[in-house]
Amino acid sequence: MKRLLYLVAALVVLGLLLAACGPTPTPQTVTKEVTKVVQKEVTKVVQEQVVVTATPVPGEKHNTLYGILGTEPPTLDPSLATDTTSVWVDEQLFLGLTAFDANGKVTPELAKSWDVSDDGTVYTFHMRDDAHWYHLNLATNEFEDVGPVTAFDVEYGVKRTINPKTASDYAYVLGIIKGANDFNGADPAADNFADMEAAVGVTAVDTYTVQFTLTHPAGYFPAIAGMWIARPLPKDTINEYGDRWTEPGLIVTNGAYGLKEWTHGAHLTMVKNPNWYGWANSKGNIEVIDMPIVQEASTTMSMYEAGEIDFLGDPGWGPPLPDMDRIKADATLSKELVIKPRLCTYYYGFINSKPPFDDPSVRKAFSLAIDRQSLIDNVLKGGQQPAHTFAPKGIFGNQVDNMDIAPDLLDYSKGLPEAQKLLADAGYPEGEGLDVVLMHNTSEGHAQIAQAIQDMWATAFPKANISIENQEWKVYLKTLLPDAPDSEKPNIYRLGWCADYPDENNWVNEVFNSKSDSNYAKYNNPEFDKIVEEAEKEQDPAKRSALYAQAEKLLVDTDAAIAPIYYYTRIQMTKPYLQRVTNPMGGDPVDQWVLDVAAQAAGRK
Amino acid sequence: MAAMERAAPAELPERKERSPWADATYQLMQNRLAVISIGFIIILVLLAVFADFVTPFDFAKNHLKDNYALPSATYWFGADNLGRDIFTRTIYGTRVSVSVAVIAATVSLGIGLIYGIVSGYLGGRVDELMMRFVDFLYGLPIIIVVILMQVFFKAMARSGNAVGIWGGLIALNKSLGGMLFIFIAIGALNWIGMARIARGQVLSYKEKEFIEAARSVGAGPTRIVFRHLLPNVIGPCIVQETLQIPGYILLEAFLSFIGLGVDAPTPSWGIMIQEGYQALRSYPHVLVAPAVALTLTVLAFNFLGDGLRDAFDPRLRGV
Repeated sequence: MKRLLYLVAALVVLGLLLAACGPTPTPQTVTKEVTKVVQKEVTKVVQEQVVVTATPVPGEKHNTLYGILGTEPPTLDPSLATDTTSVWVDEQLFLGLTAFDANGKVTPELAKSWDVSDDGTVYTFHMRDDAHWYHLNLATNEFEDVGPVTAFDVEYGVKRTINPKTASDYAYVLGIIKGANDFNGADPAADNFADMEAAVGVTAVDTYTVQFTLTHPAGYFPAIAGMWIARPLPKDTINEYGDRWTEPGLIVTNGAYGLKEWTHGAHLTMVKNPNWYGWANSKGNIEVIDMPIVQEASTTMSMYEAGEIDFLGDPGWGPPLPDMDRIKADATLSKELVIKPRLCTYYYGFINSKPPFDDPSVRKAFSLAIDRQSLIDNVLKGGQQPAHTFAPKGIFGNQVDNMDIAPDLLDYSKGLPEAQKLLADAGYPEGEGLDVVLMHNTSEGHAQIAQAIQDMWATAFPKANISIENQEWKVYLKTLLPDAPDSEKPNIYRLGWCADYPDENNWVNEVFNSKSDSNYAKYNNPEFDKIVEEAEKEQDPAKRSALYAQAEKLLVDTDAAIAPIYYYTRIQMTKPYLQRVTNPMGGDPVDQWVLDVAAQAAGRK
Repeated sequence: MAAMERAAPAELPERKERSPWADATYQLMQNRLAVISIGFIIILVLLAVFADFVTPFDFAKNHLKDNYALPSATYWFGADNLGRDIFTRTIYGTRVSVSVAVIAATVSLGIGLIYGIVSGYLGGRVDELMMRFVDFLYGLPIIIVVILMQVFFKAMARSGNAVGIWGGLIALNKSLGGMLFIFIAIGALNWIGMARIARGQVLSYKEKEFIEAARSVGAGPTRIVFRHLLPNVIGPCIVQETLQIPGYILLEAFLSFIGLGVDAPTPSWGIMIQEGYQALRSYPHVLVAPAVALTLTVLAFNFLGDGLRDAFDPRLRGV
């Protein structure tokens, strides 16, 4: 009897091991810890007019889109969102002044049009007057009109993100607005705090016109103006509920969908807001977006194959690495697979301040000794491109085609001997005496890449001792913070960077300027700082591009502060009954998606 | 059809005088499952020790072009996600599991036995204090404590500037592929059950006549403990320890599964199961070898533990 018990126990434990939550293969965007500051001020909600319209109820017969979220959204507050999951949900709930079309081009959204002053520093957005705020009443299941979306809401939203009390990690992106950096760095207790807020260069000229004054001309500003951190926000709701304002029943939204249900860590449901002005011009027919939170790629793949969900890849996991070959070989699955470029780069950073990686030759040697093509062909299999620069194609100023910059990163047959020579010249023949720690955030995909690269290094530098460690994402980011102690850092870390807006400034300057909070590599070269700061202000596109060529050359080649590995692709799977519209920046306008409900019902059986 | 005939009552075999140990050994050898298990464990230990000679592959060497290769003449059990030979990795994984079994069991047995004997023998206030401490440790959720210890060890190992004993430990851990800290983490808390058993045994023996006799002829505490108590106490403790070994092996596999075990690319069955599990839908063969190895090993230690218990304590036989 007891033996049987042990047998059962052993099998149960084995089963538990199998079921235990495994990490996840899709690389993540750079995000940071978020500290929230609660606004305690309470103001009365002014409900100007209440129009009542029927709203779809989940569970009833409605066109329902089934997807998954790869993780609990850390926040739905647009001012605080930094990760792809939160942003994906916010895209359905909140409108921006501008949006991206399927080609990544900036298009009007809340703004009908915009003008630029002659000197390029003042942007005036003319907003449409038919967008309204709505509160989804959970008791009656109706969207109640709370009033129009105005320029004042834009001004409030932008200033809220910049306000140091909000503690937004993405406030720096708005630093291009005049006075924004001063206000963001101000002490809330200072006497002139209110003045500094007033001095921020965003003003509602009238109800439907908002004006931005910039510190210097920036052609990419309309893209920033549409980002989630610059969205109009419902001031009264936020003042009344503080940091709870994004909960269902409290939240006030202006987008195509409203938040019906959010069971933290488990499930999120959005429903169509029939009052939204855009439905008149949209073919989209999705009424309910049903999204369980599933933290594991292999589980979502099973769900997809069982027809339980209609699509894979952003906001949830793409198909897992081990399944890529099978998907490509399968007659049905291969047709449902779409690989698109994505404006992200996967890279290994070196802690530049920590020996022995304070020596550029050592860094360069480790960067050169990675066989990027083999990694892509045999491990990743997702049509990625090997990287020899930081910013990918599609970013203004990118140097992907510039073969002056570290060409041997792409040619392993030349890179390998060069790497071995560099390391020997630096005093570590065959890697002798090197004790290197490579760290990645916990994830099966990252682990696989890390082990493949570790073996490449072990082949190139047989005497080096290279160990791999991993940490959970939040702990990982704390370990890497530029002001965290170097002694607890690894020598090499992995991260990805994705475009917030398609310009090199968002890459070389906002990540690797020695003053940047995202400069985890602690790269510090005054010459580089000077170039990227000059490029930020330069107006002539040709000159800017030339400056970025210099910056990329320094970053990746001369100083080899990082080892870019590959440019991401967006690996998606979509059931044939779903027409899915996406854009390369990662936003998905679900209001334009079309679902063949009959085929979906057939596919789920 | 031959008529059924009752077997004639067998003559009682002449019983030779046997020591309790010899008797236990004899009993153990009668238990077929236990004998098979012993054979299996011996093979495991041999594989773990001579892993380098069993396989031509390096467990860490990638053959990226052969990733997920099916079992073949080259790769007996197939190849994993990086084209590493699964047979080789399973064999080397044996090393981790067997080391954990042996070392964690030794540590736990050593600490537990000493603690329990001291506590039971001294008795009174000391016993009270020592046992309340054990009760306190019992209250801690062991897995969580082990996970915390592993996180702590890994963070310390990375700080790199450690010197002295600590530095030596870190270096040793590194050369063992991260195994040392697993031994410490697992051994450090699992002795408490052992301590209770040892104490209970000591309490029951120390009032027995033969201890009285020893004391009356002038034997000191050391002699009593080592010559008279230990031999009587150790049997049940070894049995208990053997029954705990599968738990250690599973705990190590679990820690490795969640990324807190040995450092990559050192193979451990837990890590291999984790990797195989990811590929389960497309390449189920990756999971088979480590899962079978883990299951068989755990079963073998269980059968052996059962056999030992039956052999040492006939009253419990068949329970």
